[in-house]
Amino acid sequence: MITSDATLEKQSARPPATKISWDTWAVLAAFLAALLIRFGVVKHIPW
Amino acid sequence: MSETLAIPQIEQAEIKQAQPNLQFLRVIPGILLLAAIGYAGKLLEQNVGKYAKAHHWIFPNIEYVLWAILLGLAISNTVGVPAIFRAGVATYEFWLKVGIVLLGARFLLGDVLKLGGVSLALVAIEITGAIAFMTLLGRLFNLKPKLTTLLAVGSAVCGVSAIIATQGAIDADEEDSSFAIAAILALGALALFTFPLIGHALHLSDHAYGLWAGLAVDNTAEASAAGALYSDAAGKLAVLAKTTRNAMIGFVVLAYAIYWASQGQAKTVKNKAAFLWQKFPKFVLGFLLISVLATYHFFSKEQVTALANLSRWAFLLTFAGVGLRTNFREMRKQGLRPFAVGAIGEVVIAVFTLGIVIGAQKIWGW
Repeated sequence: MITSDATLEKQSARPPATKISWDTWAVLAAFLAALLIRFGVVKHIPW
Repeated sequence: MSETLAIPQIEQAEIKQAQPNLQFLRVIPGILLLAAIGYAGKLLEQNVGKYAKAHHWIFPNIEYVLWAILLGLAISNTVGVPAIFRAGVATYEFWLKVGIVLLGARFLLGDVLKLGGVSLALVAIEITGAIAFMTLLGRLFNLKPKLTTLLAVGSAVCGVSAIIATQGAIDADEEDSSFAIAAILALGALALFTFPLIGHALHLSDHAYGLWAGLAVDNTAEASAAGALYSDAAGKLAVLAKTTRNAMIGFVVLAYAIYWASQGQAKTVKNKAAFLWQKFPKFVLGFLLISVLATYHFFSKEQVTALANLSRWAFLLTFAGVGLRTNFREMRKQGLRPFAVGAIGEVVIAVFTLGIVIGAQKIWGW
């Protein structure tokens, strides 16, 4: 059996509202990177 | 938890365990593995072609996307992914979303609205057709109604995320969810190899192919990879079309939640606006915001290039993760019937979406 979101939430005592979703973390990380580039902290990303 | 469902475990439980604010250190080995495989793919792209040319061999030019996926597949299907790496490997979806948000810098808002408008029209047709066909197919194959719902949402909207969101909303069995996820993942893996071949055989333009991949391939990671395997431009379009599809997830899940609640088989949705916001993929908003900033010259040209390169690095980790989490042996254990329904549905949806993309291509003359 897999552990579903619902089961995990039941098992956890924390209210879901206090959690930052995976999605939101990704957006925050991307914006942090964009700001570092915008304000010259990171000047060049090679490829 | 049984070992036969290792892939969905990675998808759900491992991601939960790998919440960045809780157990940051646990994810580091897996992230390093993703980076090592992705970088090895990049080195192979640069060096294999040169080596073959120097030795006068005829060898196809294989891009880093395919090398990274193949290396990941080789590890996953031979030695397997050791437990120490699993939490970090599960972060591949995080890198995918970071990559998509940063990719917004390469789209001007006007392009997003124009292409997004076209995509939205095609997505509406695709979602309606796919849900109707998958529901019919589920009935023909006598699948359980909620499993049919999960397969329909997975193939119509956005793969694994949509299935997980719907499972909670309609109180579906975990077993049904596992079947649907396994079918969608297996078919996504097949699409990676078949879509570029079909696209080249039909001489599709980057624009048409990218839209097709974004409309027809279910999981966002596989849709992005299938697009990038064709060309950089097709990859951009595939991400845009898939992101448009992802934006619809809340509406489709809400419709199904209301339907199953009306049948007395799920909880009633009290606050529909809150439900929609909860299910809405936030990275779509991030993508749009970065695109708005780029349009109004918040970033210089060099900075846009840096953001685009960072987006490529994030996708590199994603593509390595796609290979690593695909284990064909585990997928075979999930049973044939849901897979058969998924496979028939996917083939029909692929042909149907190809038809509407070619039709749209004639109308808009891409």
